Amino acid sequence: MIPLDRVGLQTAERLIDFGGKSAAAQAFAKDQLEGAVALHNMLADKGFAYLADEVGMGKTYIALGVVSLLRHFHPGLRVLYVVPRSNIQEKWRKEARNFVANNWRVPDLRVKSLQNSPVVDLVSCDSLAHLVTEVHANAHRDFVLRMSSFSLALRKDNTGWKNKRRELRRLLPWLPHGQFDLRDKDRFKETYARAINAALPQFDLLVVDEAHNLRHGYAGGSARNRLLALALGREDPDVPYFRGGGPRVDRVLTLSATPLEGDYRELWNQLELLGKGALAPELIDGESRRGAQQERTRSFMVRRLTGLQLGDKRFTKNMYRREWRRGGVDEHGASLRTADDRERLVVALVQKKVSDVLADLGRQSGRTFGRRFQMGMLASFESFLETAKLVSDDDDPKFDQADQTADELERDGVDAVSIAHLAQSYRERFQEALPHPKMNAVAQSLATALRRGEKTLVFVRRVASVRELADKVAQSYDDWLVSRLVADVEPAVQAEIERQFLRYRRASSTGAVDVDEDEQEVVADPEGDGTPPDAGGNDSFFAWFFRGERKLKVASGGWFRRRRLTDEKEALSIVLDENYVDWLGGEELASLTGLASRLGVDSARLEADLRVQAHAIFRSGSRQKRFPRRRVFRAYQEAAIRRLAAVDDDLGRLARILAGELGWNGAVAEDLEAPSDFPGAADVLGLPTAFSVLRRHPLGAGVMRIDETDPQTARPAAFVEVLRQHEVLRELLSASMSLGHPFVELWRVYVRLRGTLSRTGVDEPTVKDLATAYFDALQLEPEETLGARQELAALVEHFALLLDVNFPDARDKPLPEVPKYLQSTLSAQSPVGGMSGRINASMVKQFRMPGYPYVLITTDVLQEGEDLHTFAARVMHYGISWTPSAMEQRTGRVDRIGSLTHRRLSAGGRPDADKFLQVQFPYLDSTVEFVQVREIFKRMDEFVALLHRGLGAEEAHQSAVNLASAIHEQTPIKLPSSEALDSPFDVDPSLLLSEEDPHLAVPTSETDRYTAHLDQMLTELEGRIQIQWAQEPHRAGRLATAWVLPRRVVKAGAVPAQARRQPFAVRLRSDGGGLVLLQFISPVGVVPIKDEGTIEAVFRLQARLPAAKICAVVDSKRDTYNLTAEVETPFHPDTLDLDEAVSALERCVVAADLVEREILQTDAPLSVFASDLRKELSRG
Amino acid sequence: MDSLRGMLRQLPEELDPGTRLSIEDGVVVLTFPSERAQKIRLVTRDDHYVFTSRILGRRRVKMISWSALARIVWPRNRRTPLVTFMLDKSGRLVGRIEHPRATLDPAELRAILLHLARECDRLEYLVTGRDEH
Repeated sequence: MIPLDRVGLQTAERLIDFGGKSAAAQAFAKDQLEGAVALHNMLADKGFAYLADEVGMGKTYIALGVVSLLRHFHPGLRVLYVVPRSNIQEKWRKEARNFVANNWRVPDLRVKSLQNSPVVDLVSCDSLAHLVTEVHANAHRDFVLRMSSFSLALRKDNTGWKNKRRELRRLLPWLPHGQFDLRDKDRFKETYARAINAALPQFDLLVVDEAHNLRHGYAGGSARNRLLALALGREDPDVPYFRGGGPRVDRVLTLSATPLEGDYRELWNQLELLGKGALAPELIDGESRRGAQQERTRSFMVRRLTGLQLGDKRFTKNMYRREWRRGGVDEHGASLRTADDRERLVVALVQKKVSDVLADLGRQSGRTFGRRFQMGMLASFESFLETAKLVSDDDDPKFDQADQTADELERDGVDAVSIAHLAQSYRERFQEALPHPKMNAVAQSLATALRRGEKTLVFVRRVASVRELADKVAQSYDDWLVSRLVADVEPAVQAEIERQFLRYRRASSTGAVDVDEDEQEVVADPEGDGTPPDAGGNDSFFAWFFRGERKLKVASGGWFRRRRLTDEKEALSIVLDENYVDWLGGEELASLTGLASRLGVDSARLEADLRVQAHAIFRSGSRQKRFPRRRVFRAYQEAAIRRLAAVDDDLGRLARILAGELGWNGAVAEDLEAPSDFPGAADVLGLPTAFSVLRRHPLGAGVMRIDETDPQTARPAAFVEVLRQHEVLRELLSASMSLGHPFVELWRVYVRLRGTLSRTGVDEPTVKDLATAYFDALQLEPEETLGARQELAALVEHFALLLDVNFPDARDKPLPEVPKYLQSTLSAQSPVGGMSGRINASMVKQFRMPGYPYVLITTDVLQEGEDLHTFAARVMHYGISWTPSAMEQRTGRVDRIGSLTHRRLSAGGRPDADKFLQVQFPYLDSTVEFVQVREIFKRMDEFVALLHRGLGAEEAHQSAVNLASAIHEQTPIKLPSSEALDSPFDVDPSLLLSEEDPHLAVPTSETDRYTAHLDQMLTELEGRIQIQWAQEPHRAGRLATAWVLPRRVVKAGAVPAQARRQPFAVRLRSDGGGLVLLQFISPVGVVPIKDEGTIEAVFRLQARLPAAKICAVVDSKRDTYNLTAEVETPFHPDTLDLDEAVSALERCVVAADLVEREILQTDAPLSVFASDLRKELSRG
Repeated sequence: MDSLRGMLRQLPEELDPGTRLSIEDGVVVLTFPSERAQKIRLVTRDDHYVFTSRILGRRRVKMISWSALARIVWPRNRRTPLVTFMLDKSGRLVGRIEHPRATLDPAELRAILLHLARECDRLEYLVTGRDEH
């Protein structure tokens, strides 16, 4: 175990800035820093620490702070993360990148590279076998594993088991085959876990996220808990280690906002499972007082409380959360109302039915339930869905958290069949669906919120409720949308829209495909990107009319997008493009005469040159005989920027950077004659796009201003960032304008300008007319209502936040890849989203953004880990979970640092109940549901009492409610405490060392020396070796070409005719142990993975190579290795001299050339490898 | 070589917590906390020191197909700093690090020894489950 010294607060402050670029995070930065230091020092002292801050306080960031502090002083640190599910694995990967980029101050080459990326990769593993594969390949990385991987769900069929055994023995061929006995599945799993244990390296730190999932411990817990413990090396005499196996974890950091439900034993169970039970024996001592247990827990736990300073008062979460405990959803403090006498009668009838089911024999089960039911698991609480199968014939869970009970009937909802019969009888008698007053009231309330643009997160328990509730809300939104579409349009257009709406309603009610069959459409996208078009859907009118292109014979939204905006032949296809010449130099520069004047050339000559070059650029990407408008426009943009880039002045420098970032620097043949029908520069160069129009529109100077810095005044050094900000934000707006609600408005304007929904026989508006009318229309929209303007303005205002939460890779991604990256998240939007079973990652990201979906209805799949707080301030518990921790986790999804609630309240500076986080629990008074809601409120209050100072706590809980006794209780529903909460587990000040002389392992000045020395060395290298640097500097290193003669590199000077070119990349990287390395990478070529002969030849050649190593990237799609030769040498400004760098480069390129020449017989230029080399430069 | 020997003598016996350094018959031996150990041989070639540690003997290597060997070696070479995994002229799988003689300092020497021994020991364990230093 590595010995750890405590770290001081001042030292940590010089390394970490938890505030980063986020104003919201600034308020919590001090608490986060203190937490990180305290936890670090607990780990140093005890080897265990528990971070139990309330939900939404940035536990992930604090944990990353702890890991980074450890790594800064111990650069070889190995960390294993265990998190609940795959979406949370992705979250850790994303936050690790964000933390290093935004919060870690020092590029110390231990935590943060000189390229601002993490030095140590965080590898996400899909399974235990994947983990073994990855640690086998390179154990010097961090790994994040999901808890569900330990469940080892194996079918009765032995094939899957054999595959698992084979997979493991491929990686560890010495594992004894006979010990994996397939006849005893439990034993097999245990043996498998021990084999995993043997393969794991020693980890200095284990981080367990949402550790409360382990609260049932090793002995009393699930098989998953047991296998996790065995794989980590917990001792168990019944399950011996394999050779070399043993405990694999030195220290443990656990995280959970809800570390226990009702008993401190649950906490001990977690410690004990992870091998740390000896730290706190009091927790299982029945005689021990609560105070003593809290005191012991204090020695390893940190728990702080969320709070907002409003005026002179601190508001803890119970004070700024507004709980709607009376059941209503429209008026705080009021009950949920039934609409009329019929609904009241239905409620009474259903209560009678439920009561009968619980008291008497169930209709089909032939058993009684003793007047008990599982909390949240009565079907009638959520829906009377008629389609509920009267005879259940599938294994799909009917409710989430199905492990709440082992009773199959309870899992299905004991009242489901009876209610379904009732609903069927009602329909037969009245020819309409049995009304569900709660669902109706909630759907209406959600639809109202949706129209106001207020995002709401809704949790249900019953899986079928997701679709049913979503459909109801969507129907209401459809009505509103259509009323908006038909307002202020020609009567003929209005009639056509209404006709289409009726078609949609028919299609959505029958599921039929409703098209005009006689119409033949040809999808013309011969050189498209291969992405299948969005098929739309029947779940909302938006999806039906605006997303998918249907054969409706009208200019629907889907048709408009595909036939006008996406079809590159169309004039409107450039509307969402950028005119870069205009952006860089204004309208004047974007004209032929203006550009000629700037370049100091004759405009006729320039036009001819541009035409030839634009045609050559066009031809390099297309073989079409015709010249589609958008391709031609882009070709002229590139040609003009290349011309500007060739001039050695300030604008030329900006143009070179722009060309490099857009990938416009490859070779283009220029001797092609442009055909006579290729459009001329004068007609194309100055074409406006929506963004050039926006720059001159009041909105573009106001709420939709894209550029913080004018590109024309940007310094070249800062221009890359200016450009990237512009492009990523522009593409984000572009995606929103073509895929989200802003697209609806664009279509409206388009139809208004044309005056008809006919597809043909109409003059199309110009790009300028369409864009101008669009932005004029947006400007007239009221600010406070749901609309395109509100959505687009919010994208601009919160751009940095959106990058952090949704698009962290956009900061580094090559710009040409950005549009697809953003579109993949923003496509297939729906006003109302629903989720169960598995996570829809795109929908989650969309909910984190302004725009659709405004309502997200979900089961427990979103209960943990996902941050959904950025634009939502309302959470609704439509279905009730039986544990207070689950309720807290669910509410916590929207109660986090930087949430909409926090931002609104902080901006107002004073408490305002309407701006509080609205937490709703819809239920009907005088029903059985009242009993369960009262019970969960009681448990929630007890849960709060257990973890806070000075509040009493009561007994442990059961998942079932005993209706017989509870129904007679007269206890009214209590409101939550409005007094400020106080945590007994605040940071112990003695853990926060005060230092007079804080010290860093690597001072900032040291890293500056490294970069300066590298720059100088590369400059001097040119004097020794003939090098041609690639035109654009890459932020992570440099690309270049050297020339090679047999066994030596060509020295500076003329290149001999027989010399072969050899591309290479150079960068600084860390060895992960505190050493900085100068690395040269030179590409070789491609070798098939199974080509034994070639592989043998390379191995034999390696023995003769001049001290370079052969490396490979596996291309699993093509089943090939991409080979490189690499040389690394320790790099330090005081010791590495130019001779060493020359030697290293020479060995690298000579080796690469030797393999390329002798094995592959090729001599490929840099352009072939540039893209791959750039990726190599960016890796940790 | 004398300066290298001098530098080796300057290194602490406990090279890293729990990892011991010893020199036996001119060969450097690193013993890890698990009591597994790895030998490193040092030679000079031109103006470089060459540090080599054996992972698999020729006989074991011959039992592995070329494609399986590539799967073990080449991706690992890319991901592992400093160390080159390769077959030596005798057909043994070895790990190797070269460093210019003129500029090697004790900190770099320590890092080189630790890297090489750890990586070679781990690969040996993964492939054979044994410790045949």
